[in-house]
Amino acid sequence: MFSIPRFFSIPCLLALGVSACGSSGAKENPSSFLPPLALMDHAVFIDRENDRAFLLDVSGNLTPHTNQVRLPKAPILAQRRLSLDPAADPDEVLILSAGDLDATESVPSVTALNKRGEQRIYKLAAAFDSMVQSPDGRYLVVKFSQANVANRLLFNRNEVAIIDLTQPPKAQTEASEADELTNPVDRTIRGLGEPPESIVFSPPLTINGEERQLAVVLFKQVVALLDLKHLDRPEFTIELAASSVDAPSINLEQVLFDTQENKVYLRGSASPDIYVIQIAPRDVQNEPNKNDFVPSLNQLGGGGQLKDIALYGNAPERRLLVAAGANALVIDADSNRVTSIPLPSPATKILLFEGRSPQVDTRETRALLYSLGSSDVVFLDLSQIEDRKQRNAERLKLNSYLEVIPLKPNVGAASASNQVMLRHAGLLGASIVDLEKRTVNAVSSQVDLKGGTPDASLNGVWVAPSYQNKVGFIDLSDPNKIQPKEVRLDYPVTDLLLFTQAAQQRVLVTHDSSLGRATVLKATDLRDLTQAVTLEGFLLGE
Amino acid sequence: MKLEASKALFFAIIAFSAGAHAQTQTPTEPPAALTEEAPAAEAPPAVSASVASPAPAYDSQVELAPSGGKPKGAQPHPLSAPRVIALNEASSKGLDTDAPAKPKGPRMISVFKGAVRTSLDVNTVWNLDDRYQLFDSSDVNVRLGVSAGYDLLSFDGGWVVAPELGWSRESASGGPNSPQFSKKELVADHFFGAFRARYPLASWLESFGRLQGGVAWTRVDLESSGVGFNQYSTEDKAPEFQLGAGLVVRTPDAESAPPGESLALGFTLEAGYQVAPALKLKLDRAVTDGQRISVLTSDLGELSRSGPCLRLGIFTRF
Repeated sequence: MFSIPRFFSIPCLLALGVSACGSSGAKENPSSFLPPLALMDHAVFIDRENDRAFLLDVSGNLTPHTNQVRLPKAPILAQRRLSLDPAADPDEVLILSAGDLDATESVPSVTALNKRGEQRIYKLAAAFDSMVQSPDGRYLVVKFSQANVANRLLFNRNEVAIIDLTQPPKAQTEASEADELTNPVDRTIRGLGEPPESIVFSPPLTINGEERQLAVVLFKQVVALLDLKHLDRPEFTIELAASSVDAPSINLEQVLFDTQENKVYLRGSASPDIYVIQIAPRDVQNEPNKNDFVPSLNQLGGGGQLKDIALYGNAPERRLLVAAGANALVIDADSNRVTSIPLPSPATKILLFEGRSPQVDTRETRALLYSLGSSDVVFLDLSQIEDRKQRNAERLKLNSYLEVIPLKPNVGAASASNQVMLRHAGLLGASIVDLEKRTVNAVSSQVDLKGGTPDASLNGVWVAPSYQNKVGFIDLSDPNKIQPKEVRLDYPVTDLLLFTQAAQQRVLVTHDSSLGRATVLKATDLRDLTQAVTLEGFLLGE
Repeated sequence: MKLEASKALFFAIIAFSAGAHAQTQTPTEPPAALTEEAPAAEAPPAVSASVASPAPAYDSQVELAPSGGKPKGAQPHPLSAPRVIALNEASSKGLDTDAPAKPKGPRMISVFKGAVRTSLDVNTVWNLDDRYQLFDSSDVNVRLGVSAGYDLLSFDGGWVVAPELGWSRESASGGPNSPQFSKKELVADHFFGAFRARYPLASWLESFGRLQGGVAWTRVDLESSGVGFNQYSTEDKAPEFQLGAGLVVRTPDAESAPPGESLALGFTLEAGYQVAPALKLKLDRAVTDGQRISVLTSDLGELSRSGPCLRLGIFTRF
């Protein structure tokens, strides 16, 4: 006879076997996103926990569907690729990935991702955690930050990788066969015992008849010049001050380039001098691996603490304007003659602009000098300033401001004018300063307007205070009629992305949601909610 | 994993077969086929020990659970063309030893007197679609249910056709995909009807084929986590079909007992394939809170509901 327990043990055994047959899929981690980025007509959301990017098309008919793209392991940083001509240059996002220390095939990399999801992956030799782009978006230098975000045990802070983004990636093996440089090129910058602080790219300079760009690597008191067109050549390392325990550090902060005379101006926060490096050509026909230029160092005595510098005028009338607290200095770049101009209000920042003044109806270079936290701004007419001195200065009094946002005039617009927005503390709103008429329009606000986003296309400023349900736009297209507009949304705001350069000018406002939630508004008619739509669920994986 | 499970299944069946064979060696004669009409008329089987005629001809098991087996020494008749008779025709007629011989040829006497089968089912469907990982870390979906069948038709040669009705429920929640959801739950009720045709291979073993059709009522509940909390609910009713074949292992010789007077226990193992339309996973808001701006919600794609399935059932038949 069958015993009942034995009889039923068989199906139980089978049931156990069947239930064990299911295979588990790849586990998805809780998403964590980098700040969203805007391409011309796509929003890019990068999930750093699951190594993927979501591309949301905000042109045409809106749908909450995204193109999902797998990325190299551990994206830690993303930037939109810079461009001097957005219509002609590739529209890409650059994503720095740390790779996986435990997986040999998952190396650190930089990914150039376009809106179609196409990628170029530049593999790196080290887990860098910082990126610097040239203003034209051609070169990218990846380096280590002070923070060491990638959290590696060992790393060389002077190591950098230089990527030519106009060229495809080229590995060591390919480069050896073609006798060419790899892309990226790995370099270790000599630093005389200190790590690099920052990197600045020059505009194209014509040296020895060849147009090229330099990367200027700033240390505390050393500067290195790297010829980006000839990365097989060594860099110049220039010590600006003798290193000694007693000598104060220069703390290099600012670099300006004179493309007409191939000069580099350097300012340090702790130095009373301005350092000028003259790039002079050199004949190296028989030594192709040597630099065909040589730098020479000069010093301009400024005196006091130099807070900001700006170059204006054409050679031989090239001048250097320096904000030095209570005074402004005008330095003749050729003769080193210094003219000190007492300011009606101390200034630490300079904003140059081309425009008229209330007294003079000719467009010329003028300056706005200001100091964050102050309640004054000073206009400085730079024409004949060495003679007229403080008579060329005019003070404008307003509420204390914490931020100055230059509003670039829409090129070609009939009403183009130079305006800046000064954001005040707390609920004082903002002031719109007309740099030509030197008038102020105050815009009151119920919230702190921190993080205004200037919009050159629509000639205004977008304001989307975090975790408020409102988005506002200050229309500055007509200086005589400044009209703030606002719209109330259904959800609090987290980020604002502008797509006003696209054919359909839109604004995307993101909201806090793990699934992805964003409201798309018609930029030219913010209050038309019939044209607005909230997209939901676009950050869900496939 | 699946291969190992298949091996385990195979060895389990072999082991069970060996054990069952050892126990069923006692009867010296195979049980008479229920559908052979002539022996039933000529030598009716006993219903109980008190009615049983030559006691030594049957072993103790037959006495306790009477079968339709013919007496020892009876000669089997050659099988004629398949015919349909009532399941309990032979047994009930067999009680009356004076009854005249039945007319030749198939006939259907009554459809309401066959054995009733009730089953507790474990139906597992393999979800080949990765989207199922939204609800479960495993790709096997287990449905628990009950079903009841009735042996409606019997054919010469041993075939029995039984309609079935049943219900099963599947429930899955908390898969690894889309961790943005704090709640991911799929619940489905499956209401089905089926036809099962089975054929005895041994006194304890049957093979069968089964065609099932029904409706799946599926509910998907999702809740987003974090600040922008929202509930989404989707409901769908869709037809589904399963076609399968398998084996029945049961207590021996219970098949020929008159209905209602014997109890057979057993289990079924069925492999098959389910065909069903894909389930659209949409983010339909469970509650809309007066939004001024129209909302377009994404969908999570379509979840395929077709796939291979394996059904295990523990049943009683009486």
